[in-house]
Amino acid sequence: MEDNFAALLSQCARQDQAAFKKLYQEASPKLYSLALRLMQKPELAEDVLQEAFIKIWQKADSYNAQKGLALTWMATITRNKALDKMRSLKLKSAETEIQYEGLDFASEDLEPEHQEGLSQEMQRLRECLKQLQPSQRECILLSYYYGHTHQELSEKLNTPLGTVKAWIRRGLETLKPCLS
Amino acid sequence: MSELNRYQNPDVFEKLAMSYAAGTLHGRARTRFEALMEQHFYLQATVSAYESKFGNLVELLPGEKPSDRVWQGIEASILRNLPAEEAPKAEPRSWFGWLKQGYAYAALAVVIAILVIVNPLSTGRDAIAYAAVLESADNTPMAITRITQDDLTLSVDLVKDIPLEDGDVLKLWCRSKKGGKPVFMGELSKGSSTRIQINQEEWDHLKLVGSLEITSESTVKANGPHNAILKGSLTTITEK
Repeated sequence: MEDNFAALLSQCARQDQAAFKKLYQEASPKLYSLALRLMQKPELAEDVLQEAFIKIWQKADSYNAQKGLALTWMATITRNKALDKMRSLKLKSAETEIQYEGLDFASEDLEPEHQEGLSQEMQRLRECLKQLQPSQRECILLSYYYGHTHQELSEKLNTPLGTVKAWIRRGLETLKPCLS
Repeated sequence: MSELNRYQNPDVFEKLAMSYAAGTLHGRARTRFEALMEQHFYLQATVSAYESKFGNLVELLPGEKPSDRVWQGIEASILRNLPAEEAPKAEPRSWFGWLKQGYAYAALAVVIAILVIVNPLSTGRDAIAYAAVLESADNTPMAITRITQDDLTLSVDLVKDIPLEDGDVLKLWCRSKKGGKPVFMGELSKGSSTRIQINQEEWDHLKLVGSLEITSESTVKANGPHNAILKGSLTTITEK
């Protein structure tokens, strides 16, 4: 499948502002959604999104399509910006008023039209995630989307810390050969 | 086993890299791993490979529209850092709002006419647009200005709210490239974005303007003490 975002990033690397604006318009809703879940506050999520897109513009020429999809590359930048901000603000999700939570959007039973829109890479990842036990999958996804620590997961899931750690460790061990 | 040797063991570092990319490595362990990652390419490469796998999870998220201020902030930052030679072709869309009143038009015409006589500069390449990011005293981008030739439009977009006292307005000024006293150009409208057409003669004279400034002043005194709250250099944008 053609990666439209990759083509736009390539134009951005040549300082094409019109392409960058189109890239922003098309990619920002997903990336903002990710930032919202990590930061929990719209104003902080918008700061993260802004910083992420400035970096995307500055680093567009370093994107390598051989290493993954453009949206994935941009998501990694956004996520790392969010984690940096959480760290600099010493922000813990437990300290904020939770507005965004849950994993309904990552349910195994996606609507057919939603599934069709997924990249092959995401469909492969979904197949790998299906191999995990529900508790393992939940912990890993909550960590990714919300940045929860082991301790926070333990409290959120009302499960001993050691059990949460074991779920995550075993989940990643199961994922490793599948992702490779 | 030393810490470095531990991280050179593929069984150890690959698990940690995977955990880092999935977001399950936290606290001091995450910080320690990041420090090592900066020194060792193989750690970076392994993390990058896993990030490209887990990053696909963003596709499952429902889209949420951020507010317009995000794009305005991005645009301000990028414009500010672009050298004039690489500045973008301006898009014909909302921008500046000076000169809405007739007197402001007249003021600009007079100002620029004076500048032409005093300092007849010439440029090697023809401008297709002018742009300026006006910053506050602490270098925070507050307003983006563009003047585009294709639609002869002046526009100002305020990136952030500027608190005003009752009865105060924002006023736009320009200074010639040779300096001297600022010259009043017009008032900004109340909203965050204003726009107005200019004529060809006014466009031709803009090449003599070096910088723009915005003041917050009482409507009573048209040319009171000049206390610029925002300043920015006017950048000439030419065809590549």
